[in-house]
Amino acid sequence: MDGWPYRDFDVAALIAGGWRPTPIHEVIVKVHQRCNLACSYCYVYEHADQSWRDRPAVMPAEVFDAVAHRIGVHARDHDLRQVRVVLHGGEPMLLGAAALGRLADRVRAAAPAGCEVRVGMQTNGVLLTEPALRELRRHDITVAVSVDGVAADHDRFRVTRRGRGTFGAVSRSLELLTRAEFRAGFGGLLCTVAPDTDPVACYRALRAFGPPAIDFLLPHANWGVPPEQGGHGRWLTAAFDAWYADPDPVPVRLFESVVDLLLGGASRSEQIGLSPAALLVVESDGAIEQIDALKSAYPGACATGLHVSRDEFDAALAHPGVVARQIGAAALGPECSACPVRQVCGGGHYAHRYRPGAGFRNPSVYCADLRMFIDHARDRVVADTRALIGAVPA
Amino acid sequence: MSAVSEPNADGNGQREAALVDVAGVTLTDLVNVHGDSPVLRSIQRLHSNLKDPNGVLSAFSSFLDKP
Repeated sequence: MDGWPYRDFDVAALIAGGWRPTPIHEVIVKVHQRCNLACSYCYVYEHADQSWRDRPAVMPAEVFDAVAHRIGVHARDHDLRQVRVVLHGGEPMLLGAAALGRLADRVRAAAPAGCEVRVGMQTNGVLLTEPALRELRRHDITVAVSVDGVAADHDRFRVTRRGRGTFGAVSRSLELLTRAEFRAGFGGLLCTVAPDTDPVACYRALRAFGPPAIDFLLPHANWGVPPEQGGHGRWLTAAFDAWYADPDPVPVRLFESVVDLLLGGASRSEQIGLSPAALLVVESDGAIEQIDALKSAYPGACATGLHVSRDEFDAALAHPGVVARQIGAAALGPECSACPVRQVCGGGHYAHRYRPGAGFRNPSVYCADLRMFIDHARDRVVADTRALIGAVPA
Repeated sequence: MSAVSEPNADGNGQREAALVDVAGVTLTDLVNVHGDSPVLRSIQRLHSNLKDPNGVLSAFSSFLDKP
């Protein structure tokens, strides 16, 4: 544990003062700990935390049953109407679609009446076949696929262990996913930003797959391990403009969230804004952890010391790392607190604020990029809102 | 009516400076404006988000929204 919130942060005092945590709405379950690809930027295998090496390759059945039970108890205790469960890895498809279907059934069976359990999967897309998609559809598992834009860019990063690009295989999977019979189970595309690529071509390439949603993710970096390249702000700004001007745009979560925040709404993205992060991860050995992007900070950064075999999710709601992501502007350091765009930026992704020795109460390592992007988005939203207000009868 | 707030010297004004100020116009008025733009879609989204099933707008990492 390194710096704030593990130092100089009194959760007990916060709770005694009347603050109450937000229950967990989304659980990311590491059903398979290995991957069939070797993407160069992967935060699971290529960053500071290497804990995957000591965990079971496949989540044992009794661990998954305990996860399902804890989700059910949490939903019941907090009267949740909806819980999201993401089957994650590694690569979850290494488990096979039939096994994933059984897991989805088990977690739904453990939920109380009146609580909808939405089950999804984040996959590299390489193993999605027609029979697999049929099975996933049968169990109402939504599929989101990682794609990094045009073929040449995707194949630079998302490669097999032998270094071969995977765009061709992923494209074939996406053609299947967009068929009428599977379309309802297509969740969206996740793209990691590479600032030396063409953002407009990237947006258009992703859009050409006809996804119901897209999200762009800044590569995980922090003040100890800064981004390898600059230019992320320019990239986001250009991609935002391509999306903004698109007469038939695909929803882009990051961009929609920025517009929503500029208009005084809340973000649904953990990359931006001050919405409480109501997320937990359960690793394949049953460890209850914070969001796995923290693996990019330091070894053990995700740990809570809790385990599904003995602890309810409620216990995590008093963990300093979880609480720090639910207290909004109070988690921001002095520099962010004085910033005019703090309500919109929210300090950026929590993992990107880490500074060795100081912890997570810092501006994002992408601070300048986020400021450039938000200022640009604000100018466009201001102009459009002025025109809109002119259209509203007095 | 000013569509955009200007930065003020005090902390609250500074906070508001990043946001687009539509004070004086109700959300219902804006939802009922015809047309399509990123801003109008956002206003419609903000309107519908008021009905979050768990009553709290939280941040997600998954793609599990349904139309």
